[in-house]
Amino acid sequence: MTSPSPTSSLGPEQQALSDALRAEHAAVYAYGLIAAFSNPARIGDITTDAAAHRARRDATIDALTAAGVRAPAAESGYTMPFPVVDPISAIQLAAAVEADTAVAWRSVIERAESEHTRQAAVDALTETALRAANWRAILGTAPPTVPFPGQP
Amino acid sequence: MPVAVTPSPISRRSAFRIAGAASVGLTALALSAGCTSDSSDRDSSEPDPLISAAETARRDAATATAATALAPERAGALSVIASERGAHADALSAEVARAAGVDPTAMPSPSPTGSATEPAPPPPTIDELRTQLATSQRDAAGLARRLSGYRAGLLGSISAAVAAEQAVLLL
Repeated sequence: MTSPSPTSSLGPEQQALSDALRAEHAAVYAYGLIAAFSNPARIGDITTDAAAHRARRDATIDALTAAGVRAPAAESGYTMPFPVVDPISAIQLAAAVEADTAVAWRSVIERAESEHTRQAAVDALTETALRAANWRAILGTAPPTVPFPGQP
Repeated sequence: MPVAVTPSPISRRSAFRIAGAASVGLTALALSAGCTSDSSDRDSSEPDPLISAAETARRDAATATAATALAPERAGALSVIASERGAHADALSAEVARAAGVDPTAMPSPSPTGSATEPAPPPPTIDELRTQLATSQRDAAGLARRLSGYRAGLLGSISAAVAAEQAVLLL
């Protein structure tokens, strides 16, 4: 999380998009781990969600590049918030990843300077809220939804 | 500029009066809200768009509660939807009050959500609730796109929550 990129020159929208991109990089990494430990019955959802994070990552790289900002690259490794050792902890990680990306995208909505970026961020937040609720439903969390997705 | 340390009882009383009006009908705040210069409002002569968003949230909460009559097997999910839409209405009302210059801490919590006081028409079906929530989701997303800062984030978050209510709670 501490990368000495030239962040001082970035505007609020670009900074928020860079943070969201870092969250998406971490999500893509985490879903690899989730797939490795999950119940094979869940592979369909996991594959779909991982693809969605890769698409969002790529779109965010494109947006930053178009704005003339050097998009932050993925880290070589990530520390998970808790050990992932079995199918349950794998799905718990999926829920945690979606909560993290939700925070990042809500921040983009708040700091965006164009309707286009806000629309993309609302879409991203909505998608991550849907995935989060799906994983929490699978975990049996009651209720599976939260009133304010992305509220830290 | 000196700031009064002890708030005068008169101003506090008037703050309560404004707050009371807000709890009865948010439209009472429309004019004063329109006068404040919030960065996200384009046309300062328009009423605060969050007022109608709050009313929509309260209506959805009431609809979800009323829908329990025809779908008692979904009572759990419907009560979560009613509670979330009630929380949305409260957060939107608080922001309306803040922008209007009413001290949010002096504001009594708005009328209880999800408990319609007037005799209700025939109870809504789950499909009707779905349709209503889909419209609310779209409207909140559209408002998020046009607003900025905290207000945009709040509306975007609410839109995402309403999407999850439809897709997961009303599956």
